[in-house]
Amino acid sequence: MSKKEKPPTDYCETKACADEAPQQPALMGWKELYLKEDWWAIYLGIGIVALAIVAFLSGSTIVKSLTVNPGGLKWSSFGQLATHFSQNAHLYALQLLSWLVVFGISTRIMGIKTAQFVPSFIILYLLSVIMFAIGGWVDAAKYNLEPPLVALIIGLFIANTTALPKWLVSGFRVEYYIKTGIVLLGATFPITLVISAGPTALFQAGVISLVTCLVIYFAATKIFGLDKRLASVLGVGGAVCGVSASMAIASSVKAKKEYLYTSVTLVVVWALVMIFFIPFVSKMLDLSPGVAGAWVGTSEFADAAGFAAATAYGRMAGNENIAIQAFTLMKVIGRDIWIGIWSFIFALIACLKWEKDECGTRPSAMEIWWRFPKFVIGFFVASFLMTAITAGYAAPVFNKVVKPGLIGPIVSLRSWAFIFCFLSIGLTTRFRELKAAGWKPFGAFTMGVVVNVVLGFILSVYVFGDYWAHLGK
Amino acid sequence: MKTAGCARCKFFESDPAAIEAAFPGMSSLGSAYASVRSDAGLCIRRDLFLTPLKNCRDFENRGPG
Repeated sequence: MSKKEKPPTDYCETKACADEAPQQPALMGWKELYLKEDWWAIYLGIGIVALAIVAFLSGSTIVKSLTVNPGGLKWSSFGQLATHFSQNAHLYALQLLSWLVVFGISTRIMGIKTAQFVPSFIILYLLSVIMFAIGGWVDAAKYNLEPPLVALIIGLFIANTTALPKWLVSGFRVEYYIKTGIVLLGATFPITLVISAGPTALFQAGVISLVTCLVIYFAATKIFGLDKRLASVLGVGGAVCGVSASMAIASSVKAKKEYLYTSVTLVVVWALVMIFFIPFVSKMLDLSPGVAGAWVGTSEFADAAGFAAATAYGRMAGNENIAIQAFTLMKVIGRDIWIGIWSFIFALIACLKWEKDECGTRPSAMEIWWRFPKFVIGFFVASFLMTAITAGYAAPVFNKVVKPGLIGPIVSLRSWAFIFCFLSIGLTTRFRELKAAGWKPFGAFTMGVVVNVVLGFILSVYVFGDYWAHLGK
Repeated sequence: MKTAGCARCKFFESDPAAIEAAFPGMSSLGSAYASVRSDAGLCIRRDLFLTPLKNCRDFENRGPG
């Protein structure tokens, strides 16, 4: 098309016109470094790890004093609990203040109103103390009162039976807390384990992601006759990382608002079901924590929900760490980090096949980086850093000195970040506000869920069961 | 002269708080403040969720700021 034949408008949807449009830069650019919670999770997580290392090497107890927690009390009377809180009131006050300052400042910079965040976070903190206290009851395990599940149930109960003001959710930042927890998790995750177990996790997660996506996509388009864009949003949402993947793909294929809303609803509902289903089935079958963690990582739809399930089952089975490690390898490394590639591929398909004449600006390969879940960088940095720092210690010294003095406080702070997250999941899920998904999207997504759960079980228990059962040994 | 597409359009909404408000349930297991959203947002004219690099004939400049 010659210049004279171009449409008279500056704004076009035709490929001919778009071909001549200048490539535009990433609009957010460097602002991402202070406007996205992924980066703040890195700053906060790595900051805590660095502080813990400095404190450990200098003999300071400053980080340890921030890790007070009633979860390990094994109390049997309220008197014991009251004594613990009265003796440590100053430490709890310091801990609350510290979390409030770091989360308050960072969320303020991201644009969340401090006047709303502060009261909301204080409520979240107080509820978290109660959750840990319940978990610290001597008979808690006997009644399956695992803090992640209790937090979720109590959060759901409060959100769905009381009229919480909308502004109160300002402090219930599910993703921010889980990302901070994952970066802290990196510090307790040997990089050698990532290297040795990574390929197996990648293979298993790759198989499950592809199969789940294809099942949902073809069920949606061929069986239920749904739009390709809705099918792709549902497919990748179910296959990769739930709500985050749905958002990424929806924007890549220019989906209708209602498509994303439908996918969000289906992901939330099924993810909540799986938080309870997988741990309790695993318990019935007496699966090892590593195997169950791999299954959760393969078949859960969101990181936050998966960590709740993996942590809960790990505690039930007596080895929380292995369940979390297997889950992390499978979900975070095996599935999450590839969302940019999924996004780019679907953007290309949408542009080159579905809307040949209306593509607008062509997708850029930079999409892979723009969509990359940056907090994973923090996980790897923390893992490298801690592996390097602790490499010189012999095993007996490591277990006697490094573990309680350096690793322990980081694990404790990670537990706090996780419990903030688990409570927030419940507190932000109001079933009456979710969109009715419609039976066709529900049918297509559910077919993917069934295939995902069954195939995930087969791969985790039968195909790679021996591997996951002996993870890290 | 061509300008940036949706990013400068008055119908494009990319404020994370507004996006989370438009999708109840999103913040339960996701976040509009996440890197994975990048700059994507809502076109309130066409009810689409899309990247701000798109162009369309309904564009209306949102003006300075």
